[in-house]
Amino acid sequence: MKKNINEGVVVQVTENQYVLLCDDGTFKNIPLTKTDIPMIGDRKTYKAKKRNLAFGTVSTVAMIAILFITFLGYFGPEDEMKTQFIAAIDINPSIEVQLDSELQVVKLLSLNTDGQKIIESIDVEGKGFYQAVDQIISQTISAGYLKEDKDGSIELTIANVTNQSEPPSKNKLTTIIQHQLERKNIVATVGVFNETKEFYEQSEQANISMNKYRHYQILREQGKVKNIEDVKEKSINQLENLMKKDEKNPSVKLEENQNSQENKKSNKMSDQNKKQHSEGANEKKENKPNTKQNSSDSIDSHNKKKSLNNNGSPSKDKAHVKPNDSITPSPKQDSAKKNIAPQENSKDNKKQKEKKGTLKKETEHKQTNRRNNKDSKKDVRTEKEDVKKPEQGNNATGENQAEQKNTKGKPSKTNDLKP
Amino acid sequence: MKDFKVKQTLLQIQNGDELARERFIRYYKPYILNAVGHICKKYVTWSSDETSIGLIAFNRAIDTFDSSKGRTFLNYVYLLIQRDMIDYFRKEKRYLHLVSNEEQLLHELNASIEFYQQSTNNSELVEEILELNAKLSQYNISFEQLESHCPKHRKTRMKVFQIASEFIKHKDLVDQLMHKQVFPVSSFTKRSTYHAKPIERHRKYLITIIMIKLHPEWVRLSNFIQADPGSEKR
Repeated sequence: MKKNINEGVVVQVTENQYVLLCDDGTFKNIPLTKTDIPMIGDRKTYKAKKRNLAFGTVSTVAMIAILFITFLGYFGPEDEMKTQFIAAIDINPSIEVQLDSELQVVKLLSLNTDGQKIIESIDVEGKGFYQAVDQIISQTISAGYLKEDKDGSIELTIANVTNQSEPPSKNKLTTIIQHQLERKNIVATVGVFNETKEFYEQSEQANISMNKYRHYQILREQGKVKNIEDVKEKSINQLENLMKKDEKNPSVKLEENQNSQENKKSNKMSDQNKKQHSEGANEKKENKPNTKQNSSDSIDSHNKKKSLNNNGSPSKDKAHVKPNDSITPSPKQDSAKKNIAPQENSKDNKKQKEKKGTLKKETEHKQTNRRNNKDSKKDVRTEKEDVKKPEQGNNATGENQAEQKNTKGKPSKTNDLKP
Repeated sequence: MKDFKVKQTLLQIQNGDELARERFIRYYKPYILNAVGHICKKYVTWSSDETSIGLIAFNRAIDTFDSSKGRTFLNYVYLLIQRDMIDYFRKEKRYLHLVSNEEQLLHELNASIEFYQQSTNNSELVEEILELNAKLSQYNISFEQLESHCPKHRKTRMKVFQIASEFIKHKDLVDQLMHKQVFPVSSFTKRSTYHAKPIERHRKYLITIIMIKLHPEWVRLSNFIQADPGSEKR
């Protein structure tokens, strides 16, 4: 350190510096301080290196820090931040949650204006997914999108983007949401689905949440919605109501062929759904629209039967019913919830047995039996639902009975008329 | 300028030699500027008010200097400049340290005596520095340039000192240097064992050393370029 001390005599003072003639015979230019102007001939000591050293250490530390930060920025958290899952939550607020492999929230995105409001009021980035869902639901409730006096519906779809790790547990999510709803005294149906990456990409292209995209697909098939914008700002509940509404005014006027085509399509859809959603609760929600449709179909079929009976030609009857046969799986599906269609059939049979009218009736009876047989063979998934039947059957018995009565009335009349 | 020379010129000026006065003032310009800057505690240029006050005070000092009073000339100049500056500050109301009571006055007196003694020691050194500055300005060398031409290592510095002492042995070369203001590198390298490269590299510093060595009467400055005995042993 002693080496770095410059001691000498001031020989010149300029604007920015003074020149020191050091004791060893060297000259040193030293910066002037503002307060001090040395006289020529004054003795001065200047510790140059010490200051430089302090400055040097500070700068090196800063450099290291900067390097470290940039390295971190480039290579550090990048791997962890990768999005593994995308979850779409719809009530009406549509929110998309991006998750990493640890099920931590990476990013929240709103998919409509209501979703934006919810996102602004919560901060869940970096938290666990279950916690985030919990917050979103509670925020939605407090914002008034779900009300105590109205039935709501919540749908949650999880798409696995990388197919690398296990998706979050459906059961847990359902229970979390249900728990939150119970606390707030709100009745809502909850649906949790899994989707593929392709489905997510499709919905992303349409700029809509996965749940709504699913509804949109169904509605479009039915010809009730043409533009995707119509779906965007509607709540899931509204969408479901829309489906129900249309089914309440059944498209009887439509020609049979059209009907059958539609039904086929809807069957395909329901098949897809089946594969994707194995849980009963989910199916219940998902299939609701279908069931309605199907029930209407069954009514249609009755009407057809009537007309056929009036014509009185069994051969024709067969030919006309056949297309409906292909639909039969869907009534079976309905049975999972409402338990209508199969019982309907059986009731019909009973009535017909009781009446034991004409041969024609017997042939009809055979047909229906045949139908049942076909169903059991054709559709594997209906078997599953048949297993579930008894559980749900209890709930729906009231409805069923009412409907049964209705159906009873109709065929009996036809029978009366026939002879 | 040595004491007797100063006295001589001052007598000349007081007898009415205006050219000598002009030369004398020009010679002491750096000192005036430095003194004014030191008193004002800020860097001043030739265009500032304080410098002209200092210059007027210096001019008065030339006329009124009496060597029989036992002061050096530079000391007297500094005293006059300082007084005039204080007067000026008072006028400008910028100088806030007004003498209000006797105690402060006494304190200032003690301080000034102390300062006087210190500056008497310095004044000879200042004279030497001013003289060196005047000599070097003939070669277009200023002190602030010298830092970059100084050899950083002790060994090289010693070598430059040796070259300088070798150079002043050749009287004709010294005369050549003095008159042409050019260092005769080629003729010197022919006569000595030294190479041209170190001479070229440290030329300005070398000239400075030669100047100091040519004036052994600059006792204080000569101390700086003496190779210290400690370093020689190593």
